[in-house]
Amino acid sequence: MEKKKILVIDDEKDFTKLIKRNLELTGKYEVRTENKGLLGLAAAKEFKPDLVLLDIAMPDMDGYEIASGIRGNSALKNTSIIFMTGKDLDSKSLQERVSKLGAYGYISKALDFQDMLAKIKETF
Amino acid sequence: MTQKDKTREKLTEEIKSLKKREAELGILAIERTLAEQALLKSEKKYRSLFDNLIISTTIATLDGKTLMASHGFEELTGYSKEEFIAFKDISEMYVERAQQKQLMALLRKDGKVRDFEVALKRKDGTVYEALMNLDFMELAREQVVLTSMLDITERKKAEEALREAYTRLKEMQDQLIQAEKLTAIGQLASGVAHEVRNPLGIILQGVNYLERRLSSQEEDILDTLKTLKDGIHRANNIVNSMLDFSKDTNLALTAEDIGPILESSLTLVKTRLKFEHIDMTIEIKKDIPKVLADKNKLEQVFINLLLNAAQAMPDGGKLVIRIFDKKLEEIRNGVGRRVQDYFRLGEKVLLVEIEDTGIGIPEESLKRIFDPFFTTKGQKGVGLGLSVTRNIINMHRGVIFAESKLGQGTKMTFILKVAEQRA
Repeated sequence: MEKKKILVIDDEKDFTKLIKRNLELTGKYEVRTENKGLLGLAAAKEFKPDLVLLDIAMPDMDGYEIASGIRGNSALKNTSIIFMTGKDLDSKSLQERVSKLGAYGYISKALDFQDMLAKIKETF
Repeated sequence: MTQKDKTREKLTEEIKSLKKREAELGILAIERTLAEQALLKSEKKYRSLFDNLIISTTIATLDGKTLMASHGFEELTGYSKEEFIAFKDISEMYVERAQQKQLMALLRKDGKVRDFEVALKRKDGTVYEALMNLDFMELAREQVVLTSMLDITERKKAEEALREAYTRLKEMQDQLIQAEKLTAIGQLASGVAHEVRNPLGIILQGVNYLERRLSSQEEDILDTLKTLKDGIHRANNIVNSMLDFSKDTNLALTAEDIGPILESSLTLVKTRLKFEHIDMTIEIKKDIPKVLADKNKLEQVFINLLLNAAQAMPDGGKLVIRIFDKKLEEIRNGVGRRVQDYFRLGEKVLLVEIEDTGIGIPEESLKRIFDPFFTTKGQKGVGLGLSVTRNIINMHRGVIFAESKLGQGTKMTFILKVAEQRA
């Protein structure tokens, strides 16, 4: 079975490094990481991932902008997006933006990998 | 000069001298009349002065018999001078009769008494407060007691009103400071929470990775990883509480039946904590009105209070939940006529009481339990549960308060607005 492609965009290098290790350890995913928003958007266009794990708060370009960039690209119309955030998960503004941007959902940054994996599998 | 002449001359001299003496005496008589008039005038003047003193004055013998009393005294006490002079036992005027003896003892000891506050009775029985000064003086070579007395009833009332106003002002100031503190803590909490979650995520991913890579069956290694994960989850829970605390506070207030909210809260609580050892009674009065509430937020209030109650009874106990409507009859914090009071006396409200037979809260902690980051649970608690709870209740324009006895248990009560007024 062909490996699903996952792009992780987060300005925390250590976080992307360890997520990549965890995902690759399952043997089911091909993972690429980016730590800058702009580069992340470029990587998405080139890598054409099945799923983007996208941090919201990044210094150069926030996750919402990247998401609308992805949604605006017809070549990426099958790409799912899951936001990752350290912020308040219950906030109404977050829920509204997530659905407006056509993202699959959002998870907390401090989520156990197994729970994270369950959410990821839902998108495929 | 003949003998006759000499005699005449002598007589003339004597007559002259007598006339002079007569004139002198006349002057003396006039002077005396004048002096007598002056004395009378002076006495009248002093008498009038005595009578017209703003302070009430009496002169009495050492054994308490009144000799003189001023007009002011008549006005203040309602007794006429004659009535008062005929008074047999002066201590009858005192609300506490022993005070009269105390005053006299002080006078004998110090020779005078200054600013002695005393409660006295008027002729009609009404009570007034007076400030008294006592002095010895001499009158017609006899030692007497001069008493001056100032009515301070109004002053006392004004002082009391001032004190009350000050207390209220202080209360309001405290509430303002508290509100400002909460806002500041809220902003800080939200910022810190976000920053802390990032490194927590990194640590958690790392631990997750090691868990899967270390195929070791060694107890110690597995236990170490589990302990690490527990620590991360605890930190994450703190972050969640901080975010809860700082959450934006738009309520969706609708008319709700409180029973189902309590039920769903209990279901949620039971998934987090064992309740089997707790003997629970729920008493919901029939036909209670709906409340104006945000269902989710009110659920959180119940969950927080029920968890606290359960945690206070680790070895079991009784938990009683009472819900009933009532007309407010008692003034307390948040109930009254002040602008900042959410409820008016006589208003119909819904009361919720959650009472446990747990360990109780020490008196010195009871005042602080609603303060953010104050906890009596040691490492198990963050100290935000009750402050979040009170925030939510206040957002509902309700009040919450706690009563507790160490070793006997705690009763939390909150009052909510009813959605409709039933007859």
